[in-house]
Amino acid sequence: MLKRLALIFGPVVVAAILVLTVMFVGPIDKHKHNLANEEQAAVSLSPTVFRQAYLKNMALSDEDHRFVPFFGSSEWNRMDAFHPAVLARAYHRNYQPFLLGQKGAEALTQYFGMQQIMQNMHHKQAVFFVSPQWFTKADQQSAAFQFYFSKSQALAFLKNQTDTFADRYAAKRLLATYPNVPYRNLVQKVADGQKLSNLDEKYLDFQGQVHANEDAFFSRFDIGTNLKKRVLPKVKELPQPYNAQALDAKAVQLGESQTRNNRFGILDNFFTNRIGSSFPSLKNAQAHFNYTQSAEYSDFQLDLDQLAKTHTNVIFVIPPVNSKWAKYTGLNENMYQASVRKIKHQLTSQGFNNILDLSRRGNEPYFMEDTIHLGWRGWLAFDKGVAPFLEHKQPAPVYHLNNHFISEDWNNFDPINNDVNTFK
Amino acid sequence: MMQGLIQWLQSIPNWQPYGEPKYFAWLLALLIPIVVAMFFGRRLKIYQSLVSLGFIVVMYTGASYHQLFALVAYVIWQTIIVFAYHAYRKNHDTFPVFAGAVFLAILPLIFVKVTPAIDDGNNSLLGFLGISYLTFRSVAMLMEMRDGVLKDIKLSTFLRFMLYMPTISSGPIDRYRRFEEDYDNVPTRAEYLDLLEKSVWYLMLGFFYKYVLAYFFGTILLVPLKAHALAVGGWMNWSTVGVMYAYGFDLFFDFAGYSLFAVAISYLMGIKIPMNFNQPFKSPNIKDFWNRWHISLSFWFRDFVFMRIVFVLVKNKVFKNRNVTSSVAYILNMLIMGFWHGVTWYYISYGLLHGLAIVVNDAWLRKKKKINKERRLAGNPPLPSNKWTTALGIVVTFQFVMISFLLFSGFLDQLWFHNIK
Amino acid sequence: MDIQADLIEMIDDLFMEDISDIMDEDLYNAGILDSMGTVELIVAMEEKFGIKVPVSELGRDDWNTGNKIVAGIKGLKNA
Repeated sequence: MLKRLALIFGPVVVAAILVLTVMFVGPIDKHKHNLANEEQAAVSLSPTVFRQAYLKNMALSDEDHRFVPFFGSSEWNRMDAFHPAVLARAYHRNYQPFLLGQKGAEALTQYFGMQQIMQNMHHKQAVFFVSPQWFTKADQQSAAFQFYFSKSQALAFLKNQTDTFADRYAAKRLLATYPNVPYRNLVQKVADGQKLSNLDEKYLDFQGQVHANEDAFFSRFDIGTNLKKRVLPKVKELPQPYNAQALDAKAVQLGESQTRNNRFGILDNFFTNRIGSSFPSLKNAQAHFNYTQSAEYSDFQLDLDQLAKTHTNVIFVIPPVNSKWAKYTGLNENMYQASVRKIKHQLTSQGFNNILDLSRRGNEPYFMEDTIHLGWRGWLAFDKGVAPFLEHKQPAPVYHLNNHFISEDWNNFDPINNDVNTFK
Repeated sequence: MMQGLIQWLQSIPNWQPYGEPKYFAWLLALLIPIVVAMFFGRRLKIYQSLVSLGFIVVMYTGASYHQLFALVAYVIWQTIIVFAYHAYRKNHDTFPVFAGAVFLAILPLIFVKVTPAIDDGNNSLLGFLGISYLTFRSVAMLMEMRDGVLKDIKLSTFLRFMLYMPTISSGPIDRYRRFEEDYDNVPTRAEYLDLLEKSVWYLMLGFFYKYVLAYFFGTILLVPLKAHALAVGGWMNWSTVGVMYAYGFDLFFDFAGYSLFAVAISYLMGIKIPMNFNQPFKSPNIKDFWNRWHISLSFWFRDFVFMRIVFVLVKNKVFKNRNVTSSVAYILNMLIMGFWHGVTWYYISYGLLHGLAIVVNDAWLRKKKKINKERRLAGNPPLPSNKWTTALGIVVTFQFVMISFLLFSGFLDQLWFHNIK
Repeated sequence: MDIQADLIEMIDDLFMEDISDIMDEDLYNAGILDSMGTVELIVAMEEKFGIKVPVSELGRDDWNTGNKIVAGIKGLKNA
């Protein structure tokens, strides 16, 4: 009888012990640095890397290899030969980008992602690629937000928050975009300005530990193949040694050869597959687009708040849109520039003075790879602005935050008919 | 007081059956006393009822608290109908009363199924998770009472049967007499050990199905495939073919996984509810498919819809030809099943498609029988029937089933009529 | 009146299958009876023997062989 019971439940007990071991102890090598994994993760753009904390922190805390967080969205996926990850590798820069961004990711996603790596951002540098397209009138897609949100981010946020104005606002936004968020009760407490109890803190520590171990265990399974398939082969294509003119010539040559089936300078593949048969219906389809008034401005302020909290020295990059394409779709250039002015005012008035504004260069040939994303010479312009900032020592920034940027006033501020400098 | 109750229900977190690891942890922990008692030959009836009730309540708490009220009202309604008919049937037996009782029993379900179709996709307030499966149980009881095979029913057993926790949300659909027999008898220790062994295996297999395979097909594959198929658009494209297979496997592994959990938990309670799936993708023909896919449902339809239709048709000699009779009954049967899934064009055509397929399948089986008879009389060997013909049958059946699932998924509705780019 | 002989003849009429040698074989497994055939058999039995066989009585466990059906008919006739 006992033997029968042992045969039935024995395997279950053994399996349970293994699972509990992973949960409470984690993999043996979880505190080790593994350069191969770090390099893979840095360019993988996989949802796991983006959502979870383990690989990000492993790379960003590596003292022998300098990884710099590149916050952004879908542009990181435009991996041509002049992509920052390729250039950094080809010319042995003293940094490597750790790409943090995916299609549909916006300021709020970045804010909760920053929570996970907070301890590795103090007094370091970062690049922040901020697209005016984030700042749409309709609230940001909660599906994309929920997809990129993870328990680990919720736990990090709850642990880091100190009941500031921004913390409360972030909690409210989290509940609004993700009503069934993990640890909803605790997030609600933060939103209501209640202090978390000792028991809550203990619970968070416990959950955090279990989750970190799971993360360390599972992260090794999904770090993608971008490094091998999309980065390394392109490193070999570039001229050696570094020569700006040769690079530019190469960019023109590649751009020219890949944009032959349309008059917009858009990558042939993109034009065929992504625009394709909907091309006629897109004429003037963007005439009503408006990036000047959006709840995204307050979300963006959360990012700034977090970057100031960690004294991170950031360079912001603002991209253009493809001018020819914008003309075709009717996107209003005045509106676009007004949104850029609004973003820049929010930055400079608070001491974020490192800005690489490319927003007026969308008409340069081979600057844009498709409708809104940098490519070829656009990436070279990006590099020209960003690389010196990262390679050479920079004076420490002095930030002076203004909570008024988290407000309906600012969200609804109209930069077309008003001077942005009047907003205080 | 009512307000307080509602607030309290809203404040309790909602736990869907077999939805997350925590659910299993609590459920299995609370089942330990039941398992130990079973092992020693006793059934803890009151404790089991309390635990079951607790897990039923948390199915309907949180935002869906109104479903709990709908459930209570529904059970009262069904109890009245079943017991009133039971009292009536002791001394009388007329068709109108029987038909009236069945109609009243399915009336709430009709409301719930029709409301979204006529009210712009809104759900009826009478609805709650599992209403179909409860209706199947009570309607089967009415039919068996009419037939005179179900004579004695007890209120306590009836309620336990209707509200049987492991299967309340999505089956498998048990029968009252079978349930009562299991419930009133405790399995011997040897039998119970067999049940325990199966239960552990089914739980593990269920985890693999639902949390590994269904996740792989339904989340990792299906989501991007759908997005891509919608982006490309048109009537048909390659990604939609991908959606078809990914959805088909997701549907199977998700539902089969769930069913395995239900069976496993039920076995722990010593109740041998029927299995719901038996390797359906290995069916060599479509008739056999319905003996392997969602078995408790298709057998319910066979016993309480198909056979009843055939009975009326044969008894009244409606059609001279028995093949016409069976064809009409098959198509009606599958159409009703389609309507039961929901009043939308794709569910109904899914039912119709399967009805037609069974008719064709049946015609072929008859033809084969006839040909073989003729060949035998002529001294020839029968038509080849070997692993190759079986394999061909499996491949054809599988493709047909997958196509029908694509229809069933509603994705074509989205692609064709609601594709907003 | 020989119920067994009548049943064998009835099944031969309905399904063109001779079950006289296989009275203990499962008629469903043998492919002789299916749900359609079950109902036809029920209707024929009702007419022939003047009994009422409920559809849900004819379960696949207790009415599944020739001999069991004969026993069932006898039971219902005496009831």
